[in-house]
Amino acid sequence: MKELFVLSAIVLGFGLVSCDKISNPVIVQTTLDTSLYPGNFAGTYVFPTFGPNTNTQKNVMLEDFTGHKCTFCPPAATEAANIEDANAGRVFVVSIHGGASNSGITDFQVSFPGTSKYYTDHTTPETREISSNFFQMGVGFSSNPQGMVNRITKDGAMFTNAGNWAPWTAEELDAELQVNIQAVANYYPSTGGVFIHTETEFMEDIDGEYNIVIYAIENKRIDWQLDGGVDIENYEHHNVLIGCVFGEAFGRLVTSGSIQAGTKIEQEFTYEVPDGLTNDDMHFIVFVYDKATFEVMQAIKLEF
Amino acid sequence: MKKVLLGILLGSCLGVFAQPSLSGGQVTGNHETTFQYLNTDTIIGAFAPEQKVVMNSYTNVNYINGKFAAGMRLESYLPAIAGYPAFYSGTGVGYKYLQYNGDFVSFTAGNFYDQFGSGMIFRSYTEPALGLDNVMNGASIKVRPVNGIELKGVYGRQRFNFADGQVIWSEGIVRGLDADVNFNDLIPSFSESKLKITAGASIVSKYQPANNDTLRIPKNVAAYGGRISLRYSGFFMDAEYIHKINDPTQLNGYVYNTGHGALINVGYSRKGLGINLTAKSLDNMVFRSDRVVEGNQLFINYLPATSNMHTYILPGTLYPYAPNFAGEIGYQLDVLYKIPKKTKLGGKYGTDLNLNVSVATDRVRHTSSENFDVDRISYEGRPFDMTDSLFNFDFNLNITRKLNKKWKVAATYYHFIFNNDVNKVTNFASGYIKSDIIVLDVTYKIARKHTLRVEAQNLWTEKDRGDWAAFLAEYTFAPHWFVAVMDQWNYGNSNENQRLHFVLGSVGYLTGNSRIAVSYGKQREGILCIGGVCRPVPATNGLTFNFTHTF
Repeated sequence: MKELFVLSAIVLGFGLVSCDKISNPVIVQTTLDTSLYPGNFAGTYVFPTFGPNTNTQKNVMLEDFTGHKCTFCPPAATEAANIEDANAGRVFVVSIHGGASNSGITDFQVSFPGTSKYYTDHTTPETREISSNFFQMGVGFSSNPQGMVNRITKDGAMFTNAGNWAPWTAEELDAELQVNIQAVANYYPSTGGVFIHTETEFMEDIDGEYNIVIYAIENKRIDWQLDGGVDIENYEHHNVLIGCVFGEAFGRLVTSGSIQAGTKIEQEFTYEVPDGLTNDDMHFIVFVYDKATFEVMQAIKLEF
Repeated sequence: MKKVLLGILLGSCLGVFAQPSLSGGQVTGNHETTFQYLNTDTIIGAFAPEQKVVMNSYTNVNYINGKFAAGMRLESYLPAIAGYPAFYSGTGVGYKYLQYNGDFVSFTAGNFYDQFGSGMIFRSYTEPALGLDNVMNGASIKVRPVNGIELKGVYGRQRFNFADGQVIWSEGIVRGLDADVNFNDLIPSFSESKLKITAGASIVSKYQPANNDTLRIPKNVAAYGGRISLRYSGFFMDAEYIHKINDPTQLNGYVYNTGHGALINVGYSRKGLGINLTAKSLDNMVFRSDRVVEGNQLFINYLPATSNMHTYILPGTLYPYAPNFAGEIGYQLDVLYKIPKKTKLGGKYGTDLNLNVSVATDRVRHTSSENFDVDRISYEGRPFDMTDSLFNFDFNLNITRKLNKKWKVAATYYHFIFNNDVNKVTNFASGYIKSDIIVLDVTYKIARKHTLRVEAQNLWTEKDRGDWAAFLAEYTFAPHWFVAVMDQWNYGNSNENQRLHFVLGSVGYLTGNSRIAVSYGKQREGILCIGGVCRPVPATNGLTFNFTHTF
């Protein structure tokens, strides 16, 4: 009994006298989530150095607003995929589950948790925010399926039906490149952290205010979809928007005012890959847009 | 009075320790009051407070009954005497405890003082003369499971301030565990051995909340270490090593260096001869329960001094050396030898020689492998890795000889090299202050119960305020009275207007366990050090009354 008492006292005592050995004492003054770096960020993380950006062509981001209960959406998605395939490396489709309403959700996006079909909520705070904002702006978003091609505006509308996506895309692919982007991503599987570094280069003198947005895209998702009135259980949803870096659906400022040709601005971002996904399941779309017109100046695909 | 205090103590304690056998018991304690009437004296830099009169007073009362003990201390600072820390004010209970002392286990609730090993890892103690009191407020337990083994655990906050009669406790919490093994007691077959071995190990941790925008501050900081003590015949060796993990504080500039403390003491003693060599290595070993507090508050540990704390007034108060808080390497040799009596050299009664040499230097800071911007480790410190940057050198030789039944003479020579840039004690010099001091101490027994003691001291230095002389004459009429007069004269001051005399007269009366002393005059500013911990003492001019009593 006496020995048990003493042993308990020793164990209790050593348990009480703890210590915190700090190997990374310096808190880096950054908006980056340095906890996603598996090590001493201040001491060992290497920021990339960008070389000259050799790209000379403007790319296209095709935002397809869809819903799993939208029976006409699969043909539109097929059209988008075809345009993407036909312009590999220059056209990037983003499937945004969002509806034309103040909330960003309509009957096409409603999910039914606990039931046997359509139980997945494919919307996210960002998809709802994007849909809601564009709906309230009155730029042609009236229903699904509709989409935007680099958010260009024609006849007062940014949104258009799938039938116009190909010609609008072709037009944008021939447009002059005013802003160039290059990006690097460092992925750390142990933390699920991705550190994204971007360089935005303005190719000509330009006035305005420009934001950068990074879409996190799930390459494909197998789930229910209403297609031509038929419930398809194993429908492949293509390039599903699952979030935005820093949760910023409309991004953050690159620069504003009178911008001189050759101006290069580097920015850093962090993103935590959601549980259940890896870098094999995802990619990013990095784009810069004009805040006054929402027109996408350039978009690139970033795999990691 | 005793009955009243006893009643208070018992009234508060019996609820916990209700036993029918609590009767009788013993009350012990002590009291001290220091009262000063101060004058302003701009020439020596003495300033009277608004109140003119200041007072420190405290009374310790302990009640012991069998295995039970309880006690308390009432303190009063109305306001505190000159030079005392300003955070002492008001009247109140500064210390209280309940204690049980059994054969197997002892425990204390409330306030307690304790020490692990040499104190380099944990020492809770009070030194009223310095205004130092880091008493713990919590609980401690000691367990002796078998003969030869003692385990201690301490847990609590430390006394920080005494403001308006209320003790303010530290924000940080101190937790500690210590194990001590006496192998001679533990192993029966070893009990009669000439070789005596004890060993111990300690771990102490502090917790303090932290909120810092730029640094990840460790909220829990631990120190741990071990010690061993060997005795064989007249030889002895004590060694202790303590390691402290990253402990960023305001004092060390929030570096994340580890700290270490090493203390080795070897020696030999026999009748008429004692040799003691101490080696010490300290680096970043100030360990407090609050990372922003400086001064003499909230020390968890104690940094041992390896230089003599001199008692004569000139060597003791002008350039006293205290361990450098950042770290130092120190060595001290102390030799006591008594030239045998009835020899040509020793004389009729023998002659005592005491040689003491100590040196303290800076330690090497290895920076080649450090990346401060990354880990905030400014350097690596290695035990006993010394530089030639001298902090302090102290050589002193004392010869004491009783000439006959009436005369006793002591002469002491001191040579100091004091680095005022490292441990600043004066604003009148920078760099090294070299000084030489001679003290003659002569005691003449005039008649039975009548003794006259005279001290004559002289200090020579080319720096600071120049040369000093001091003279003391003390007449004792045993067993009750003494009267003394002392003068310190800064005759070598380069400013002739500052060649001042500091004359102080004292008279004292002792009876039973009481001592009353009254002094009047001037005291120069200086440094008061006890055990390697110092506080500045301002110049004063006035009356000081001191009363002590033990019961």
